[in-house]
Amino acid sequence: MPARAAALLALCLVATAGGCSTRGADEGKIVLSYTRWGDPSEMDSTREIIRQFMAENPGVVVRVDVVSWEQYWQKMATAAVTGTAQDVWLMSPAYVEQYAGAGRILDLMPFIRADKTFNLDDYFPRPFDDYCFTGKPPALQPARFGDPGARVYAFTRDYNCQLLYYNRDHFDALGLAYPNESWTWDNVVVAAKKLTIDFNGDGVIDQWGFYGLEYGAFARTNGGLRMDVMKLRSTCSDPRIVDAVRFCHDLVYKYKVAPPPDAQIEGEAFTTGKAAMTLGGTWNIRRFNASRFLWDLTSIPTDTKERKRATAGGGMGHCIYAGTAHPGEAWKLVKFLSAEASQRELARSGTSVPVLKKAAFSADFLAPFDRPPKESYPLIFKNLTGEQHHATYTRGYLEYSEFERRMFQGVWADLRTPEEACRLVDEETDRILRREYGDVVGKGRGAGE
Amino acid sequence: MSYRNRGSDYSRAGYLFLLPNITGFAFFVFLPVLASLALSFCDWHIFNSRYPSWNGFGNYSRLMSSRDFWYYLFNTCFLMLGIPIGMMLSLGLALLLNKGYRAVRVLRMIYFLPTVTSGVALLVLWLWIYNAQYGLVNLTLARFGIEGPAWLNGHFRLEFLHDWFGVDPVCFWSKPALMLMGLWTGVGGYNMILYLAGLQGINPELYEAAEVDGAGAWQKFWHVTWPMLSPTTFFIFIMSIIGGFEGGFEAAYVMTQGGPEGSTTTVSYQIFQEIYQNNQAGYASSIAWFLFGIVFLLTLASWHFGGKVVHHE
Repeated sequence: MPARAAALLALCLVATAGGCSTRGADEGKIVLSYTRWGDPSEMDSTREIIRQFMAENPGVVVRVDVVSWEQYWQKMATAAVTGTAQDVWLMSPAYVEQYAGAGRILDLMPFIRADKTFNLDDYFPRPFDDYCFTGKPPALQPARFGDPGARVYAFTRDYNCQLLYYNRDHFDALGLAYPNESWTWDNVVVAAKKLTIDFNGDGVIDQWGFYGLEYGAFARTNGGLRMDVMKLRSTCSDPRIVDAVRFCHDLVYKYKVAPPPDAQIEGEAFTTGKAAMTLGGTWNIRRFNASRFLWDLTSIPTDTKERKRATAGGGMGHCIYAGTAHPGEAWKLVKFLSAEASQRELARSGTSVPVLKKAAFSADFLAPFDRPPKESYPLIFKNLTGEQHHATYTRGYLEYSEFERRMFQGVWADLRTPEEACRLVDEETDRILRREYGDVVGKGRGAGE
Repeated sequence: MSYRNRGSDYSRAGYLFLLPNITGFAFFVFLPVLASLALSFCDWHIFNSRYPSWNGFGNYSRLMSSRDFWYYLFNTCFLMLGIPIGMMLSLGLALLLNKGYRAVRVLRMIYFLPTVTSGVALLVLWLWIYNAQYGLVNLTLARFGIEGPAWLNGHFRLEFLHDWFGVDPVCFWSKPALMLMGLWTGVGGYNMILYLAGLQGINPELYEAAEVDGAGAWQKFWHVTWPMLSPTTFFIFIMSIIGGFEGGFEAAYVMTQGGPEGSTTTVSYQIFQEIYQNNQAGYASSIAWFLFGIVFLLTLASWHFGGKVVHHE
């Protein structure tokens, strides 16, 4: 009896184990795993690029895994900690120091040095800086790409900025002048008031003048930065940030031109024409093209006429997991994802501006889309190449950005003043920074050495 | 020769069959549970440090002095206020569905549907139902001339609290909203099935005897049905309390992200945030074990006192 049972058991185990064997077609090939965040609309272009890579590298199979942005960083943190992360994955400037500082991703500088074809002038140079550091982990110092001894922890793939989008049909219907680069916050309010309409008089607003609570973009446009990354100090109480938060709050409560925060229709209000203006990144162009309205874009307004507009761009990059078994092939993939073929594909996708200038300025850029009008392209590039900002990210970003979100939720719900929220964010962020960096917080990196 | 003694071979085979399951349980449940107990006495930022470092009762004392934690525990308990209401409704529904009508089978299935439907899909559906502007709830209320609140974001203040006690706490609509949603999902679920089973297990002779004695419908319920159902009620109550302490994660994760102002963050959602967002493995473990302690004590207490209120045939 036990013998038969044992045999049965063994049979079951063999049967289950059989299910684990790799697929025959990929036998003998190097298997790379690649993951990124993104919504389904971006998947087509990603799949096409990966298909091209596998066609060029018949010895390599790439398994693609896509996660939504909300879950991505929690998932990657768990994967990195447990040693199960993918070989290549999409990295954001907000998180690079966390991963590089903990030694979870590779320095790509040796690969770049060995690559004779690499020329920084082929790319928008600025986003590379976001991934550059000097010093040894975990004591990293933000650096620029050309700095001596600089390491670079991700290879940039795109370069985006935030802009003001407006529904031209809605403006035309009222005979209003379109927003332009000379606009200030006052112009936004005046136009938005007219554009906020209850068409059928049932007491429910059918069309809002403005949508979104993008205080960060408003603040950055005025030069307000959320963090002093060199001194390691939270600077959320910068008057330019407090003012931007108050402005967003007032759009809802004082001027009543923006809907009360309602997570459910977030992002789609502009597409559906329920909002006449919104702020958003250039990655929204594909989504906004689903709209049946004619729309256009311009630079984000400043608070006053005197204020010099600061423009800021940022780009995502690909990093290589420190635990990869195939760093050479992983680098090939990273390079390919920022090479001409894939960058042209990215240019066509409407989900990002490519970092490769040749692709960004090519006829492929937004080729499948009729909005924004071609005449507005230079404005996008003007914003991307204008005055540049320093990065505002440090370790612990996931934690303090979540706290920030919660605090400002209280402002949007009219429970807390902008000043109070900013002060609380500063206190909590500094607490998190102290835990991450120790005593140097507020004094500057390297102060303790 | 008795069945049991037919040879140790036989029982050995039995254990052998249990072995895969027990091994799985030991390695993937029991061991991690023990590890988390050990971790609750350690400080471990899983991202920045490779190994945990001993912290004694540091996590627990941080927990005790954390206002956030007590607030989240309050939230968890507050959401459990829906349990008795839900149980009453489940019982009522079970009484109705215990009749012999043909339609009853269909109705039972309909009421049970939310239980077998994917949880996240339901939560997304409820997001829309509660939408302040376009949601089903507020549109229905508007028909009757009532302006509905922003269910998931809005807040209100209770005047009488201010007048009577001089306190003026902000109350969030999100809490009753989640409670209502829980009722909708839970009423026709397993609780109703358990009550149905309980009802069908009651000896009809008891009702006949009561009728002979001239008992009315209410008297039959109060003197026969209710006491006979008391073991079921007790079981459902205990399970709901345990579930309540562990609950709230899905709704917080999918619908509210614990907000606004942490008003829908339950203890289980806090545990998730501490480990997956803040990478604090030690602190998260200490919360989990504290929660275990509460549930354990409550269960002990209810077994102790429960015997006095439960009627066994």
